Amino acid sequence: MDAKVKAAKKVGIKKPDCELFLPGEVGAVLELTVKRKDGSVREHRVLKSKSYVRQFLELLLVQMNMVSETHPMSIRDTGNNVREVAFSSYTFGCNAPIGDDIYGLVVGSGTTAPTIDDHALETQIAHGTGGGQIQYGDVAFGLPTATGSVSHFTLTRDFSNGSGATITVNEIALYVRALGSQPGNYYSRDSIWVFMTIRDVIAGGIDVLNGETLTVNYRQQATI
Amino acid sequence: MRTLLTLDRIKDGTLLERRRNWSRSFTRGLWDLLYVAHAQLQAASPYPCIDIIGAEKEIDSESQGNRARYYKSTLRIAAPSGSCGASLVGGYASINSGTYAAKHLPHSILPGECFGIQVGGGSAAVSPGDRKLDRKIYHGTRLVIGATQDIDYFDTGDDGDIEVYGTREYGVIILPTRGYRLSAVQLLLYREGSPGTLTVSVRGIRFNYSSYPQMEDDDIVSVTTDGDTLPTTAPYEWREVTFPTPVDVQPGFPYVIRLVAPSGTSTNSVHWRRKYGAGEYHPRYWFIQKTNTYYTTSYNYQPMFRARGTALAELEYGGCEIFGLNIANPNGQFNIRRLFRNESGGIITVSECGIYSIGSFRMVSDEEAGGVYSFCIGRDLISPVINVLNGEDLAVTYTPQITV
Repeated sequence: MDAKVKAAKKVGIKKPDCELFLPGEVGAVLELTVKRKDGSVREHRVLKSKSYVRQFLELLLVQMNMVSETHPMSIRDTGNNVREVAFSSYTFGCNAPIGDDIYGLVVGSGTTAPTIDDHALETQIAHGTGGGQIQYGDVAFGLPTATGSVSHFTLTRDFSNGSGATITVNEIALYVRALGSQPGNYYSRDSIWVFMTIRDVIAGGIDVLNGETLTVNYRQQATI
Repeated sequence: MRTLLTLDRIKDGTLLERRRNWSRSFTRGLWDLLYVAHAQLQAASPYPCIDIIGAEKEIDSESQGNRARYYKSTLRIAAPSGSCGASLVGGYASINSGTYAAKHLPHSILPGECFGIQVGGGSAAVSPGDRKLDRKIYHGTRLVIGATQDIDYFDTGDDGDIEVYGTREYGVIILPTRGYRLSAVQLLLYREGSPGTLTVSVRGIRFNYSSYPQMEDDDIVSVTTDGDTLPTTAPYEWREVTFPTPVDVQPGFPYVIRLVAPSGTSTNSVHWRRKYGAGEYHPRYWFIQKTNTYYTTSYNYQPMFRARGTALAELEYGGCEIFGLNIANPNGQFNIRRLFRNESGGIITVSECGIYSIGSFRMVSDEEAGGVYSFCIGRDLISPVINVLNGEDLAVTYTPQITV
């Protein structure tokens, strides 16, 4: 006897952000949009960011515990240097201006799976229009809001490809700033370091053709 | 990131009961504070968000100067014990040439119970927009106040009055040392002519360094009463108004009970009885006047008022500590813990818990001044409730965990 399979027709509203997160979970939804020169969307992906890394916990602890400069926390920065960090007004700052690839949302071409000890992108794609480079826009922010069972806010950055060839983005990270501890030198103003708090590897990568723009949205959210 | 919530009931060092569940708690307040940190908002363009007293507060990420470590207490939750004052910095000032320190304003020193882990007796469902616990259990050893009674009050020795009408607004600032649920106020009043409808409201207060404190622009709650039914002579009337929703008064934060007669005139006004203290002022109640947009305050005038309400029995808040950072690929975590001791003499039922955190501001008009407010960043219901007996401790531990 032949089995007959028939799908039931059902219309409903899909809420991928709610489906992606467990109750009580804090995380980020990563939304990637590639637009052609004319502004039309060529590719759009929504996925769950998987990878807060250790520097996120460490900087959160620095601020929550108001870690002092006389007993600072040792945290590895994106240059692979261990820095002594204390609480400050700079912690978690990621408001990078246009063309600044030092901090904010950053992209790379590395494909190695993340580990909690990652301190930087595997291979960062630099800002520019030369071969293998991509142009960094400024980091913009959506205001915090709460709806239904979710509260969230969004970080956004555009990456424009003017290199003349296709660039494949395989990894995305959030680089934030924090103030180094210099208890014996409080006149110094040059001890701001950069730390990676999130790193995600994009399965299969996402191609940005010459003339196209990749928009990265990190929507950090909590679900009750 | 998920967060384990562990509740331990302890007696004389012996664990009586342990519960461990996933917290469902983080709320919008967490994103408000992280947004301000991420975006590095400056004092000239601050971010408004609702603090634990229910007032809109503007916070920023700017700290003044190039020396004092760019101090900013935003996101702090580690706290000293309940009544211990914590200096929380929003700006800094020069003490003398070459020496710099935090500037202490009323908004810069909070009692420990105002931030860190909190417990309460409320039962309202958790919402991502929660701005405070439904009903906080405050720090202390006081028994429950079940029937409405006067809690903050100054009600004897009146020897004059202040006249309220039109744009002449008056209020009494109160700085409560104990938390309670304010449901009604009584003001000693009489009328001249027909002042019309009066509005009594509760507002927050904002301070700065170089001028008088000011009332916040919005009411936390308000109610109206008919001024035309007040008496015109002594012995006056203790006019009682009951607010449509009660206000949870948080210790350590100043409030103002404000009286206005919008349609009143100089000959159709309401008179609020007061005492002239001639310098013998009450340390936590004082008078504030707003005429058009100009504020004055005085410790010499004590308006006659009674703030009435109820309160849950109190628990003593220990310090809120952060410890145990442990990272081993692919996992990482740390702990946030606070002990609560019941010395009230009775049983205290705990049905909710949460976390309050600090947000900071700096004055644009006075670059050396600033301060802090407290914001709710998480709230959980405890079900079934936990009964903490007299002499027992309750340890509440949040353990944020990440896994790559």
